[in-house]
Amino acid sequence: MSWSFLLRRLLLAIPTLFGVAVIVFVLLRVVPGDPIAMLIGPGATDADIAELRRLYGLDESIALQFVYYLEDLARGNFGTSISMRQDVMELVLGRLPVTIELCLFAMLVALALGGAMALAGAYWRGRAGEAAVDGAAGFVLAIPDFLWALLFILFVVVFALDGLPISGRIGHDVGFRGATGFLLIESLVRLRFDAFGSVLLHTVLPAFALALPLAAIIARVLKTSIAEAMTQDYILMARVKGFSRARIVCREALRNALVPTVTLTGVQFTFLVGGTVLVEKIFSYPGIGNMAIDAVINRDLPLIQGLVLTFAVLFIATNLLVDMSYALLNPRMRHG
Amino acid sequence: MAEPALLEAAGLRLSLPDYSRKQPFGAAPTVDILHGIDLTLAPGDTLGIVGESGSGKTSLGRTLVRLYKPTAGSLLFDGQDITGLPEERLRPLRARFQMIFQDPQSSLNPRHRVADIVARPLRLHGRAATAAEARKQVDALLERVALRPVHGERYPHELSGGERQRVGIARAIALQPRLVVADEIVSGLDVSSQAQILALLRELRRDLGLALLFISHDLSVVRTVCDRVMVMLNGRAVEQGDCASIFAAPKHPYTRRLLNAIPLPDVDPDWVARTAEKELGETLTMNVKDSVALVTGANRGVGEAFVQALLNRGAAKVYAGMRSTVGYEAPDGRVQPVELDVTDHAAVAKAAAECGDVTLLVNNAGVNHNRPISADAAQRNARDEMAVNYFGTMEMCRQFGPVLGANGGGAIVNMLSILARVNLPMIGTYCASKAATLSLTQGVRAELAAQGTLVVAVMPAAINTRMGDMNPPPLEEPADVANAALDAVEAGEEDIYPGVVADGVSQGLAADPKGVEKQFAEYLPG
Amino acid sequence: MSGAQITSAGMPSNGPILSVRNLHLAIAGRHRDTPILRDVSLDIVPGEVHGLVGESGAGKTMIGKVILGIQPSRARITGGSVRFDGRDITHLPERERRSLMGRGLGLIPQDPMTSLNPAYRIGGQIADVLRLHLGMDRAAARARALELLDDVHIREPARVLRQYPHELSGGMRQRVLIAIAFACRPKLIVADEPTTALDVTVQRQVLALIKEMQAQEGASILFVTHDLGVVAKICDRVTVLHGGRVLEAGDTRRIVEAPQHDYTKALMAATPRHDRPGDLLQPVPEALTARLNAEALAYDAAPGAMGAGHG
Repeated sequence: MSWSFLLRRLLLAIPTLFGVAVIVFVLLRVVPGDPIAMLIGPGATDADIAELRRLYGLDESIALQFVYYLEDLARGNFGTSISMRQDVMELVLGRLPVTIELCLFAMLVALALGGAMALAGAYWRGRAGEAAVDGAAGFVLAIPDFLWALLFILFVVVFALDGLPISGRIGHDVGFRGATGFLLIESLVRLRFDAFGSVLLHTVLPAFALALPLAAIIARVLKTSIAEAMTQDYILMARVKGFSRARIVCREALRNALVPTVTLTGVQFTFLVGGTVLVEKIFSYPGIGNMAIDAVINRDLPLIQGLVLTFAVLFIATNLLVDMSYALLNPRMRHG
Repeated sequence: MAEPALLEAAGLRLSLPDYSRKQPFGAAPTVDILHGIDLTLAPGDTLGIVGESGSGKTSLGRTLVRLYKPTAGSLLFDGQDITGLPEERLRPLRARFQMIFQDPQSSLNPRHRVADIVARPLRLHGRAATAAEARKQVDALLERVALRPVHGERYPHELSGGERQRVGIARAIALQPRLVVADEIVSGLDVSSQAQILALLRELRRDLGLALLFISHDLSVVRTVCDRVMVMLNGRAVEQGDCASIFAAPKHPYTRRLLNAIPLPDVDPDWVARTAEKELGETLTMNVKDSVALVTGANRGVGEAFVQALLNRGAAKVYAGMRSTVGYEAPDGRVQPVELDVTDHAAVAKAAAECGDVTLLVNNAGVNHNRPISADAAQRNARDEMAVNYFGTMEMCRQFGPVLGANGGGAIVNMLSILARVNLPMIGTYCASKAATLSLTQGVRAELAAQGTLVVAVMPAAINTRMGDMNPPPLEEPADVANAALDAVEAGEEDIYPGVVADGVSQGLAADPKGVEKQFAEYLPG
Repeated sequence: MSGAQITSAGMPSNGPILSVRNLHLAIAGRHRDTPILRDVSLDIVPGEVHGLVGESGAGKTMIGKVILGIQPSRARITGGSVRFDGRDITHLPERERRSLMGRGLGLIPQDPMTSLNPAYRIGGQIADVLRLHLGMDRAAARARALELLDDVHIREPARVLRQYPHELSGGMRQRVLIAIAFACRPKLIVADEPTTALDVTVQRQVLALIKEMQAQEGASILFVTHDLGVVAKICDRVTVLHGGRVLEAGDTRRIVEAPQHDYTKALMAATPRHDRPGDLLQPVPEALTARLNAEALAYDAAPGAMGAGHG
């Protein structure tokens, strides 16, 4: 993989981000609802309202507002949250690690689950095993992530599974305040296994809710790619070499089947990140998804802007990682 | 030619972008595919184009029907210049030259019935107004290629390989073209289907007066359908002519290699081992008699001796290359002086264009500043020695390699020195330039082996010329060295060490390289 | 039936390494089974190169696949036996089959471009058979792979060992595949049209290499091809196949110089000869093909023939 490739992708990210910034700005100016009205208590005078509008720069012309907005963005200044009265950048950066950790954990679950299903389906190709895998994948895929989240909560409540928390990120009784926000990783590094266990338990349900649909998609695509690879001449060669079927599926075919799967997983991962908005809310998980809903309800324009841009950066970064992983998987692309 | 040519290509060149080496934001670099192809095809003519993968035969076929646009040269179809004709003006002409592709599986649309595939060009070019009329013509075409009307109802995947190729042929002749380019159309078929298709092509050619360009990797197949054949190697035509004469007496070594590689159905258990051995030890040789030679640095010393030796051996022509021809007296009418500075790229390129008939190249020009590495001007001297001895030889090989290839292979003689193998103190930079040139010679030899060019490295000890007076005695006579080099050309020897001193050093190097190095290190001139 | 006339004349006295006896095979279809091999018998003795000649659809590749146990899952052996090294291998359990590979059986495939795994380096693809069948450790397998690449005349073997398949030409890849086939010194190698996809000059080099390796390692070879020219140059004996039936078999010289069966004669007439000017290739006459097809169908219908119906 060449550095020029990376550089090109990074340069391409700039116009993308600019586009997102423009769209966000325009959309938020045309949506109905007055943020100031939501912010201010009853009985405020017109002068109070005008004062607030001036404070948040809402009294300027749209064009000027846009120029200020871009200027601020360039400085990394996303403004002050209207509802929380705190710097947006600080707010978002404080919550971002939570969502990143959740997404990565969900991703691992999806890969492990989907990969196992695909391999099982490919191994038992044309037999009952394959049908079972197909059926399971179809069922899982039919239910969206937020519905899984609700189902899990229903389960926990109905079967009184008290051990599985359905709200928050860490138990109140665990005295652990991470310095980084990456609680799962940090607690492990600091050998605080009690904290790690607590965060893990809190994360399991939202992560599985996010992971299940993705796992089903991975299972399907990977199984098809493996099946396709299994018809190739080099697989015949592997059989003639005397390798077992398990080894042929897992080593000879899997490696070649990974490329299309990674492409799709990359695209789907962005959906997973998007899914955090609802799932985090359902589990009161303190990530940026959860925050996004609050921001929308409060018409907190600066915060919404900051969050949308953060999501955009996340998506772009994901796609970049996916592209980089091709080069690792496909020897042909390494010379490009 | 009595008949006007149907297709006439002159100096056809083709370069295509190489996307595998494309850099971001930049244009893709190009690779040269065809290096100046000339061919003419009269109406009803059949020309076979033969070569191995990478020879450019398929690209040539596609360029001739203007699927690719030539980078240079001219292409005339039926007297009309189609070299750079834009596609929309080419389209009406396309009915008159058609192409049949190698892989019918991928060139026939799998979703269409055979009848629709054959009817498509008819409808497109307005040759059939109604569906019924088209169907009638399609049936006639299918019959023409020995398929039955029921085949028209089938899809390509329901046909055998031979049948699919017949559909390809039917589609190609639907518009009654005057020229058909058939690209490897029998390579995927077994012998029986192959024989059927070839018989069909002969028939069509006879009945429809088609001109046929038959591209194949198999010379023996070409012989059964073509009158003439052109053998391609690395984007050049190395041999072209009547099948009868080329098969009876192939001139170019590459043609011979291709012919010898075909296993004939005669029992011969030793064939494989024998031909493989021959291949491995295949010695390229060349007759100096009747050759056309070019000698660089021909006005003095060893160069002069080379010119004389060539004349003595009956060379047809000798180009005597020298920096300035002023005051040069040619020793014979066959000698043609050429102003040629080997360090000047443009001059070398010009010489290669002018001396297009060269079959034997003697790279003799060289300089020796005879100074130790510690000398004041060592840096400048070393650059000068490299410029003449190394870069000069390289440029000559580079420019004349294709010339020799086009003239049947030929030979290159690089005048080196035993000092290419071992360093003599006090002239270290000269030795280094010769060592580099020896390495270069080996590279050139490997690169030009496929086109049948013999590359000889001559490594004598000191020669009795002005240049050699600093070297240890005894000194070799220039004529002896030149004759030894020409002997090597005729015997197909690659590295020679003429004279007892050079021979002794070479044997010493084989036995004890370090010992020879020490021995030389002790020798200090003066 | 001409299929019954096979003699073992000219066969050396030591037992065959491979003995195919009255082999029947059919592809299971939705409604009925399609016979592919009909009563095929052939023997290969140690050190022999045995040519299997026929047009596409003759069933020659299927015989090779049955020997290697890689026939498609819908293919059913409906009769006869394939004895390799003294035991019937047609219905061996999977594990025992696999143990035959490498040291017993090897394959030189038809298409070198697609037969190497694009995701792994050349070295690994040679070393893995050595480790599996000869129990070599990583270092020993690597050293032996290097030796093998040198044996198949690959220049700079150490560099090629680290390369990926897409970095090599077709001829080079076929050399690598030959190295893999011979790696564990098998007793029999099935060469399935190993030179069809190659240029003529490369074909000759590859044929020379196969012969050389065979002489060095002493394997028998079943050489599947449609090219009588290749057969004439490298096979000791030949079996001619059409429509899944053996039409003629015998010593190569006898088959090439004095073919008995009309079909063999027709195949010879269809093989190009550039040394004979004016030699126009004669396709196999349609009447002959029709007759052979009719014979095959009659054979299927004949009582006692073990046709389809076991599925």
